Amino acid sequence: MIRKIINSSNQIERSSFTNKIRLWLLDNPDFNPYRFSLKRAYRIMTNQLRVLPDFVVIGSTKSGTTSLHYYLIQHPGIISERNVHFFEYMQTNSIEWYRAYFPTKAYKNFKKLTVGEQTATYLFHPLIPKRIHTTIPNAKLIVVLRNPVDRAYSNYTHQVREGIEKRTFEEAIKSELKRIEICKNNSEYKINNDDFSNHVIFSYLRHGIYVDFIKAWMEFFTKEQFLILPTYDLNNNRAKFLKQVFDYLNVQNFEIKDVERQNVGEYKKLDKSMRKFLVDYYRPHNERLFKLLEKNFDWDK
Amino acid sequence: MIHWITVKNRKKLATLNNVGINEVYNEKLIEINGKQYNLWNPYTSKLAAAIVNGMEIFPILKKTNVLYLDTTIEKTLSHISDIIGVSGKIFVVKDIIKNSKNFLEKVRNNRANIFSITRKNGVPEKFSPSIKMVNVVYVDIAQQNETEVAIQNCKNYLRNGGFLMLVVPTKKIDFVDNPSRQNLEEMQKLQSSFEIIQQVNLTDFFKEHSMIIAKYLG
Repeated sequence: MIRKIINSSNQIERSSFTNKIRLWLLDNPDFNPYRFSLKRAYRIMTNQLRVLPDFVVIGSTKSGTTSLHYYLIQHPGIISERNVHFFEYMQTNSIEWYRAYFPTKAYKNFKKLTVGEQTATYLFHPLIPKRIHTTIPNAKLIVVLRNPVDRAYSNYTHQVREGIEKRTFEEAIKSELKRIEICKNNSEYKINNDDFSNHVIFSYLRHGIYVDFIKAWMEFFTKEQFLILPTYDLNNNRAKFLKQVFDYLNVQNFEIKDVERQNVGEYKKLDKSMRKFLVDYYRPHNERLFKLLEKNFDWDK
Repeated sequence: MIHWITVKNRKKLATLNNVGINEVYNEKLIEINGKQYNLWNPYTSKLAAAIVNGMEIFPILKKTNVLYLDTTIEKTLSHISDIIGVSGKIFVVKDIIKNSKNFLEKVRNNRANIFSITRKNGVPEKFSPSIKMVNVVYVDIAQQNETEVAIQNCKNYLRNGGFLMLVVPTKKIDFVDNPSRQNLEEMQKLQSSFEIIQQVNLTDFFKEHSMIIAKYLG
């Protein structure tokens, strides 16, 4: 049985006509009829008339940004796009492609809109701060931060649901610690991939060290351009949380109707010894973060 | 070293071609700034698929010696040969390769760093004594007992601190969803003498496969 599976996927029969078409379409995705959309083509044609976003929600993953997005778009004065991932693939996608996501300048001015974008993985990418700074230097940046221990575990369970992670949490963390050590001592082994995938998958621990990422962003943006809020408030004090966001975006306060949380995973509780290990691991990093932000999020539990 | 090059506005994986010809499997050659690159297609090579899917530690460098056990070898092999350069060595096992005769004739003329070896008395883990300690063992042999074969080969030929790259069907290690005892054993076999560094799923490119990268403790 196993042998059969392997054989079927191992060898691509080169003589097969459909396979040839398949491989050609993979090489030339612009000609792929399944990817073509009339609306998209129109928007790309009119991209010169369109605006770039005023605000960007840059992170972090598994911290309630999806819920925040759905709350924000209920506001009549806000238009926002989710998971555009433009700045990660900036080498291969053009700014025209990005502009096509947003409304025209005339429509924006007529309706007095605030335009935004949300991609929660921007925070972790080392090259994005510079890219956003050159494209939208005045962008307002919103960061939602969750307790890194919970974030790591939630990230892990998400990857399990996606079918990417196949191991237990403890083993996954152990392997990651090993990789961190190898990258530190034998940096020649580290793969030179500044692509999207390496910054998202398999970095449960490292993505929780927020302070290093935020410092990298602060090299390009002033402190006033950031609004950094904890996920705890989004879940427990939603009205206050949203008021802070609306004030920051200079829009009228608004009471949202649909308050359902989005993209919530269900999983077993993290066991105590693992939690203690992670809390200890993150404590020094969290202290550095609190010092930088001059705020305390009470995460040591 | 692996390279990321931009072809037709798309980022692609490639290796620097150090022989100047594409006779091994009609590799796609791309010339950028006077350098020739071999395009490395993740749909036809599992190692490339693992790299694209987020492999973090890539132990094959210049001058690395690799023991390479794979039944269908052409594609991955010629790229590894590019990466390790003239001072590295790859050992391939003649009698597990399909159509080995044709292939090795092709290779012999232009890839000096590929050496073919034979199994001793048909024992899967005993080879002729020409292999000394290698740095990396790459195993993709699609057998029921491939983990055992991989471990035994590492014990015989891998130096301490070297790396094992093992392609396994995901079913064998999938014990998060399906915690049966048998599946656990598959991973525990490795854990006694290896530190598992990463397990990369090859989804999108190869169904139901993943690659395990492990460090040998000796």
